[in-house]
Amino acid sequence: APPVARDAPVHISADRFHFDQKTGVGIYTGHVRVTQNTLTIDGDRLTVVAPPKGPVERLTMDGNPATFSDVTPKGKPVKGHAAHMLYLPDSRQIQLQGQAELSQERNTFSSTHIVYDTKNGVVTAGAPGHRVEATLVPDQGTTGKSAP
Amino acid sequence: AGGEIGEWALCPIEPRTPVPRYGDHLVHIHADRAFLNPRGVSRLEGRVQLTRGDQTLLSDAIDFDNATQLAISPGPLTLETPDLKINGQHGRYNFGGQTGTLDLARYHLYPAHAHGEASRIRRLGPDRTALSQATYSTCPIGHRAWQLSASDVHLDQHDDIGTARNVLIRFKGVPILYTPYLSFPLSNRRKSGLLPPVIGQTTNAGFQYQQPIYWNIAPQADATLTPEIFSSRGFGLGTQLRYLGTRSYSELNTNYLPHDRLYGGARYLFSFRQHANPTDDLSTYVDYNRVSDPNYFNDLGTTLRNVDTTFLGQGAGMSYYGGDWSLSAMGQQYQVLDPALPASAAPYAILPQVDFNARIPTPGDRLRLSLRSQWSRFERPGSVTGNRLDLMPTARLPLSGAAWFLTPAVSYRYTAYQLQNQLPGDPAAPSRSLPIASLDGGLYFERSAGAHTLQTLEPRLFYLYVPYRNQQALPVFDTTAFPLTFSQMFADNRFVGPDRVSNANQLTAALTTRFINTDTGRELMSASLGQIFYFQPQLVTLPGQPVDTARRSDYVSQLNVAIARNWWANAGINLNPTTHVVDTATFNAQYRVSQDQLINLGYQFYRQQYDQASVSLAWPITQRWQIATSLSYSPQAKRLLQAFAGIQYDTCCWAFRLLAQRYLTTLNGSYNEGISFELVLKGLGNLGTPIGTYLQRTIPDYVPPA
Amino acid sequence: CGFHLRGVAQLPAAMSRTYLAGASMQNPVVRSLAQALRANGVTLVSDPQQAGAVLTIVSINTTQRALTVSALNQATSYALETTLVFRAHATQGRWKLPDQSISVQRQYSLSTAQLQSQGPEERLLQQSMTRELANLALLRLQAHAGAS
Repeated sequence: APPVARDAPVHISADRFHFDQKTGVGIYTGHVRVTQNTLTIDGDRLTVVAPPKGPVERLTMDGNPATFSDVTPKGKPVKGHAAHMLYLPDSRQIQLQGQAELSQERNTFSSTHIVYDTKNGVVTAGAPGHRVEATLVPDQGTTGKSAP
Repeated sequence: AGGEIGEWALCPIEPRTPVPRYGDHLVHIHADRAFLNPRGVSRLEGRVQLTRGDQTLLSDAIDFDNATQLAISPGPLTLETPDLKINGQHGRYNFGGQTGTLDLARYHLYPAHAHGEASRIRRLGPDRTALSQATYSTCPIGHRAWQLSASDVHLDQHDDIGTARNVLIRFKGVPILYTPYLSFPLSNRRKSGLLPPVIGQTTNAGFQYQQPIYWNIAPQADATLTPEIFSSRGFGLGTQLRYLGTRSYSELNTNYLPHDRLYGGARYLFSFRQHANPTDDLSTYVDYNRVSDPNYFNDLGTTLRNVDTTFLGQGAGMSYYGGDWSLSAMGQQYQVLDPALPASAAPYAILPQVDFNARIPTPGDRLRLSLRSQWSRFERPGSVTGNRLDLMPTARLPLSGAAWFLTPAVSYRYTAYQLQNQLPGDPAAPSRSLPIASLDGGLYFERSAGAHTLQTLEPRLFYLYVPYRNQQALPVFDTTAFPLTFSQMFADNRFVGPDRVSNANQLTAALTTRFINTDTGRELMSASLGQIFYFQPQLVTLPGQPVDTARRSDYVSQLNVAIARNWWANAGINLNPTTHVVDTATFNAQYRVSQDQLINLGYQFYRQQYDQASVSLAWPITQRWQIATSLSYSPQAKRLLQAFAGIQYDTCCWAFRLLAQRYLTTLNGSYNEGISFELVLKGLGNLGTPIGTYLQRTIPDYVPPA
Repeated sequence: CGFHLRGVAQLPAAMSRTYLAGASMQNPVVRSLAQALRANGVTLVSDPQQAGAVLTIVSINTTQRALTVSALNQATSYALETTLVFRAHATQGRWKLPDQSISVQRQYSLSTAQLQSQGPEERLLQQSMTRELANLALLRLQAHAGAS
């Protein structure tokens, strides 16, 4: 397996693996799963570009859809799915593109472009020309009755 | 919710984009970009729409904290709720409590068809909104004929009441009313709270200005204080207290002038009315009215009253309905308003009168046994007084088939008096008892009269026998004779009231024919003719009346016609069979296109009593201009009794009425003229004299547009 | 001349057992209508479930208006008008009678000396008005009997 990021090991499992020496591009296909720490990404086809030296910088997962699940720094579950996901282990950022949807507890975001920063749990959704739709569940304390 | 039919029919339609709804209590967000950080505060940018339930916020940038449900918009924002839309330059809104603040805002309150601006609008909850330095108008945006501006306005959509402080109302830019406090309705469900000044002018009181102040004490109680000034008489204070209980309604009206310059003394009106149903079967009423002097209404009454009363009633009573029996008790006395009338000419005071009526059930309910009983006490200065007991058990056997009915009836009436200061020589305890027997029968014939019309022919005979009893010694407390009407031809006594029972050996013969539309069941026309044949002269009379020796009564005829949907007419003539002189005649007709477009014609004639022709109409000339006029004239006396002419200009959010009037006063033959005008600010209230309600009272079936 | 004795009045079949809704027996018009219905073979039931038809009294209001005035502007005759609005429908089946409005007028003259008898005179006229309203209401029901 290619060299991995400094602090946390990235494990990849798949049915098949093909590595192209010339381009340095590795392709995993069939029940591909990538895990790093609490993060798990599943999909059908993973493309890994490994530069001549140094750690893996980009993993691109395609799936029908590709999915990920993680736990926020405050311990809350978060998951999402998209046509394809770009994971940058160095900056711990996942970019979801194409019918992307992310949900944290029961709050959901959907757009064609969502970025999830796994380090500080910040979600950035939408891009020019790509509207974002979100549905949040208000806490029980604010049920809409005006203050007595 | 643009220009609906009805009150706002003349307004341009202002379409409104529908408010987004998701049918759940979740927070739905649409934006170009969204940043959600773990502490739950999101930053939303680019054509942001944030909706929860039926509340929606639109802005270009919103910071939203899902934990506290607070949304902050540093830039321009719009709050959309089903009934209220607010645009502000910046503001914040809490979706939890539905509270928030929008500054430099414009708003549109759809149920009230109203809109305006405010320096700050604070939402205090789902139904309450407070506006500072606000304007309010129901006129279309862009051409505000009138506008209300106030230091603060409070809109309560739960009770549909708007209240405002330091209010200035401008009409066409001209300030026309300042009032420190004002409440007004936010939908037509609520009484118009705005009680603007009443301005008018009459010959008897000169220029008058009244400024009512409305105080909404509680949901079921309110008070209106009305300081007033009469240019030729001085100032006064009117008060009105109203209380609507769950089972009662009470209203107190008073008016007090400490010193009336023309009259040279204090003058007052006191009127208390109450209706109550403590239980389903028990109802009570109080109707007590008193004025300081007989000419009170003449001098101070508004120009808009119909008729004067000579006797101001003061009464109270209760009645209990027990299914087969009923018990009622009442007291009634009068204040004489006509200075020329001696007290002895006023009606008797009845203190009290108790009625007990009962139906005694019989097996099979074919034989109807009933008892009517009454005990009353009569008082009047300078007259015979005393109490009277009147008992009348009756047995009736109503027999009927599809095409006939036959009702024999037998009663026995016992009436006894206990009198004081009767004329010397008259008995102190006279009484009268006599049997009353009658037989009423009729047949129904019918034939078809055209494809959809059925004609009926209904002959009816009514025989009445009552032996003669000398009743000269009996006082006349509350009994009188009315001119013969069709329904009275089948009554068992010519007099109304127990003091006289007419002797009778007579036969009433009547024939009625009706034309009925068989599809709708409507009666197109009915005509009736009847006459009474007296086999004995009617010897019983009221004091001072001649004995009527006629062998036959007048021909009594009646005609009702309602062939087309929008007009009807009825007429009735009593013709003397020997002299062929008309005793009474009445004619009424109405052509009605709608409730504010109709004509009424009328002619009433009662030989040697009155004859009066009257016409009244309300007619739109154009969609904006309507006229309303009424005229009553006595052909024989060649005297105009009353007349008024009014015009109304109606627009989307305001209407203006002018009424010129000339009517008789109680001083024989003298007239009172009056000009009054009324400005209607639709959705807010009416300014000036209430012409609309006056027209509704005087023109039959007329309902003013606003 | 074609006249024949009237046949039995045909009320809508559904009305054989009718529930009278919307008004109390305290009201003389309701009492007179009930009497007319009973005289035409209708049984009035107190429980809507057992009724074949419901006759709803929408409104009954009586207005009194001064008709003529004397030279002293006092009323010398009054007009009474009572308007009954009612509708009916079968509990089963589609028979329905939409809102029917019937108005009846009476007039009486009254001199100031007769004020005491105004009440009794009005009650007498009210009695004849309620009988006429009941008969006219029956005519409306009979006209729509065919459709039931």
